[in-house]
Amino acid sequence: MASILSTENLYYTHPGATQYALKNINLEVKEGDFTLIAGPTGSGKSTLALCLTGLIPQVIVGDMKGTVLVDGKDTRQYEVYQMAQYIGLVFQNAENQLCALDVEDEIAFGPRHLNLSKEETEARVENTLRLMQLEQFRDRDPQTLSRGQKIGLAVASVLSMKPKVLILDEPTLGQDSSRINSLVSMLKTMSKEGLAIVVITHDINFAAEHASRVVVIDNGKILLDGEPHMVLSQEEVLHSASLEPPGSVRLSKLLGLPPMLTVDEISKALQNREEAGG
Amino acid sequence: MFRGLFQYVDSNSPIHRLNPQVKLLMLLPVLLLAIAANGIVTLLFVFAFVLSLYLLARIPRSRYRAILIIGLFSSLSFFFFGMFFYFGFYQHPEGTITILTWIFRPEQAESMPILGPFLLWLTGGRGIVIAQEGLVWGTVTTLKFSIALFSSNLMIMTTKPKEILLSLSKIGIPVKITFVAMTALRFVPVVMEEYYTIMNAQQARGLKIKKLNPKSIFEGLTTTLTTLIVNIIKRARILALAMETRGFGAKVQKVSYEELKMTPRDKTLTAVIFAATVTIIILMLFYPYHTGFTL
Repeated sequence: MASILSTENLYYTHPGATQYALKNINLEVKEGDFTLIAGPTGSGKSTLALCLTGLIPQVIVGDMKGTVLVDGKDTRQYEVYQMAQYIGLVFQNAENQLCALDVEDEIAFGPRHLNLSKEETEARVENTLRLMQLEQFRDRDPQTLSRGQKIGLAVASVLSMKPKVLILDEPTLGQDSSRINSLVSMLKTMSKEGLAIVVITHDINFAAEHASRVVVIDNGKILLDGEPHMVLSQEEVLHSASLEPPGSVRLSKLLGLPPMLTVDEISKALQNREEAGG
Repeated sequence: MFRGLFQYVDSNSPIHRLNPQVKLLMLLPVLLLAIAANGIVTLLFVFAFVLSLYLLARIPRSRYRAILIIGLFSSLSFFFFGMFFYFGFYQHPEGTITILTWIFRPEQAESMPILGPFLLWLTGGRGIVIAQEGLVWGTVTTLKFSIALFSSNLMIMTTKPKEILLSLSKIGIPVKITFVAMTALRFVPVVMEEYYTIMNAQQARGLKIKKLNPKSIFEGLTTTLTTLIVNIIKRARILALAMETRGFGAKVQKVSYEELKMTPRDKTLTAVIFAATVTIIILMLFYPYHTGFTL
């Protein structure tokens, strides 16, 4: 699959700061990838998201070195609204990014700014409403929705622009587990259709079993980058970044099995072992 | 206290059903009169007209509270300002205005330690009087302000925010400007909610506000407002970034696809409003003293 988002030797310093907020970030995301970027609070995850969308250096000042390419386009050379059709970002605090007067308008905001036709805009709004199960709220004021619904709407308002990369910053905060599960299954479907998804989180358990890749960041540096089983088995490195690997990894180690991410995987492995041994 | 100020009230009154553009147009003669007319009778008549529209709009009584408090507070401050510090008294020599009583004569300054010389300095050596013209000025300004406040609040209370946005952009006001105005309006309830949260949290941590002690109220307000302003700035920054990543700033031909339909009744009303506006302008130009208008 083709690379859709890549950074090369990316360095960033906040205005007035002396230390790098991001140090030598080399990242490549391909079409249909489901990438998890994990790290403790203040590790530079959200700053990285701002770099990837081009908000840094176009809107937010500071010293950025290196290049970020989205769909082959350098973020330095395009305005943020031009990049908006390729890369979407759902911010950490969903309710702060809702600006329209009703749910339909909120979702139509992006497509309208892409200068799509009336029919196309309406079709996209309908599709996205159905996809995010927000149909019954179409005429509601976004600020009156529940927290979980607001996050759903924030995701919907970005998805309606049909970007090639979708970045979600801490989508699990303040959500109940059933909503998280439905969000994850929706994201998985989207990634199978070719959308590259980047989830930024401090909760490494979230989607670890669904992600095709996990990147661990601490102090602005990439510590680990690779397939989830490989990354999550490195307990010492994870602990040094204040991250807690899933209990199933420890359990599988105690049972003398290779690192496993879910209970199902462990039970299957145990069954296999019994059959082989028995 | 201010929950419900400048917010839409859902109802199906004749005012609610009116075309938003017609409503917006109706503000024109009303505000024109509020700015240009100086006669108390004329202004009272306009104010009564605005209030009658409130009755017609069937706004529930609970929603009057905030606007009544603001209206009363501003009226009193205009009135007292006009009563005690009428500018005409300080601008013109004595005799051109009708002085009702002296509150503070310059000769009294010597018998009052500290306060006397201070008042003398504050008033440029002229003292303080209650003048008939000052009372009139206070009443007129109060009425002007109340008309503007009540009529624009009625517009917002009876028109869906989306319709206001739509009719403003129909008139030809740039989308970016209407968007800024609407965003400011729509975040009023969010900011109020946050204000109460911050205040409750600070009270839970032991902040005591004595209701009748100005010093205590001031201290409470500064701690709460500082937090609130910082939060608003943070929120505005995120909103701006989020909108930018969703394409705000791109050149757009048409932002809204919805249409506002003008019924025959709306068209008649538009004609009446236009006629009224023209009449007002003619009256102002040709008969300023007969009608109480002075330009």
